[in-house]
Amino acid sequence: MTAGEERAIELASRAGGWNITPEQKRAVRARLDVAWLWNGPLLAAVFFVLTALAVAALFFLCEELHLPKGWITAILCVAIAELLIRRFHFGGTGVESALWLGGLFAWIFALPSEGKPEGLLLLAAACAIAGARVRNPLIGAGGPILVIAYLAAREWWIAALIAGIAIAAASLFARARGWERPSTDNLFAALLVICPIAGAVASIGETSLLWAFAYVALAIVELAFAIRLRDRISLVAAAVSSAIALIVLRDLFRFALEWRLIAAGTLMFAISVAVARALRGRTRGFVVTPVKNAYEEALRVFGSAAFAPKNSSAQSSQPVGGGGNFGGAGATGTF
Amino acid sequence: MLSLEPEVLQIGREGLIGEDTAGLLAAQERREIVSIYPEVRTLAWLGVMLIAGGVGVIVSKNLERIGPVVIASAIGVASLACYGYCVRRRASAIPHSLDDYVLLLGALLLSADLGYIEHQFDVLGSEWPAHFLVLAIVHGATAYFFGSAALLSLSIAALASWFGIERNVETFFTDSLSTALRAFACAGVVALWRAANRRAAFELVFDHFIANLAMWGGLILTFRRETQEIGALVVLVFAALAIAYGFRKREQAFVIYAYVYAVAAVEVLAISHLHGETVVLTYLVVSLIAAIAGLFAFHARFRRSAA
Repeated sequence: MTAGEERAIELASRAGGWNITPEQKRAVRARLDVAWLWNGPLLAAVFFVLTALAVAALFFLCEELHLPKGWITAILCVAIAELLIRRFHFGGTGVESALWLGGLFAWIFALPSEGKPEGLLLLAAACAIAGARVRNPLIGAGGPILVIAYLAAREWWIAALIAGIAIAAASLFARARGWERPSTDNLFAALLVICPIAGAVASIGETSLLWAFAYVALAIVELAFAIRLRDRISLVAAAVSSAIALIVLRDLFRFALEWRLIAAGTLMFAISVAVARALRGRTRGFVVTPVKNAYEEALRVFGSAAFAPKNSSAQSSQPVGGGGNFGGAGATGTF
Repeated sequence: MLSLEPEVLQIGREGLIGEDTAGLLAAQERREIVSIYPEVRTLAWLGVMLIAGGVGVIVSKNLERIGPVVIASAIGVASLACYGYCVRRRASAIPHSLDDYVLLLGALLLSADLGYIEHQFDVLGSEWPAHFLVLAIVHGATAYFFGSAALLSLSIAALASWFGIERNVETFFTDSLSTALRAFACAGVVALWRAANRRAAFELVFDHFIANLAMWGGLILTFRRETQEIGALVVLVFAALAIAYGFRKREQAFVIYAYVYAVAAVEVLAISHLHGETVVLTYLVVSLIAAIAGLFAFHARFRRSAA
């Protein structure tokens, strides 16, 4: 897929959120129509899961038939993926990504294993190869994440933490330049946000609390970058790094979990209110002009329902009966 | 960073979108205008969820230290304060972009408070699950008063709890025929409510809940050996209806998850009738490929119908 085609696909997907008439949207999409099959994130995820399940079934079928499961699965999957990409122009459907990644993973899983952590490096290489071939930023980001996991598996906690921060910092500066391909830009965006989380998860509880200041420093740099270049992703990354710093420092806050949750929630809500107030009425730079965002809406309407009161003991005699538990507001109490 | 400014300007020059729109979009691509509205609201949502989660832990842990009356009163006051703020804001000509999250916090606090009061003071006795119904009614009424889809969602979730429907995957393996029937009954009640509803903005919320409750009930039946054929049939029927509805309303989410429910039901039914790992695995490879091809066909049709 050429850079121009990638950009056309990106533009077509962005056009869905533009404030234009449905007819204009159709006209724009028709104009941008490229010869590649691609899907939005939700549908691509469904295709990815279905394909991954099929690959796993094929792998275990070969094992059941005492065939060389790794080689057969890898060759079949990669060959089919290449056929789909070259002949049928699959470019972001979720199927070709799952085939490439699944094929390489199947080959690695079939290798004689001694349970050594170095296996993680092989998986990281598989992610890098598959991610580069199908130009999927999330699969590509899997490579560095698995390297961080490898460092943690070797119990090199500080190295894992530093790797997370260093990759994020490098990605931040990589984002400063203009990239032609959306997939490259998205790869750096994914690395910027995910790697510090991976480093923190890998090392938390194993390193000094002072390392929190490294996350604070990263957050400051990300925030400065976000404000200077008006980059939303860097803003999100700064929020994530700040949250990690607070989590690393959690032992310094000597109050109970519930109060920590409430304090963190209040802080987050207060920041959002302050930002919304500060930007109200602005028409240039960062603004809070309402933008229709399907994910935010789904989170608000349906995500909140997950925190609705639960009936966790009413197995048999509903609508009335049972007893012992109550729930709501994200918790189910048992006495 | 990526900028699609040349493409946007080109589209504007070709007259596919108005010049003003093209200028605005180009300014966004140059990052002269960057709306962080979704980020600010997501941060607020996370804040609300953390506060509500913390309150949930408080009511379950700090009974003796603080005392039930103090806890119930404090949460009640906090909830009322949120509702009071939203009532006051409702009269304002310029709604704040985060008002609905204050309302959501109030509703979640009310849920926690009512559940706590019921448990602590045993107000309803053996009829204790009725407090879910009370919550469903209160959240439903406030949803209409404030025009909040999030509150409607909470209301329907509380109604489902009153019917005794749990929201976890274990349900499929542990729950009984009566749970499935309760899911159908709940879907029916929500459908009746939807028929009586006059607020167009709520229709999609109702439809999502009806479809999911009905197919969830069908899947529970499919996982039970005695009822799996009828369960799979029920899922397929509701999935077909949801897909047809998705096509008609151009709502792709219905098509996607109805298809996934249908595939799951068929796979569970088929696998339970197959014997031997080789046969099952061969079936899985073939059926999953067929499922992927089928979803492609549906999606292509959906795109054509939407064009």
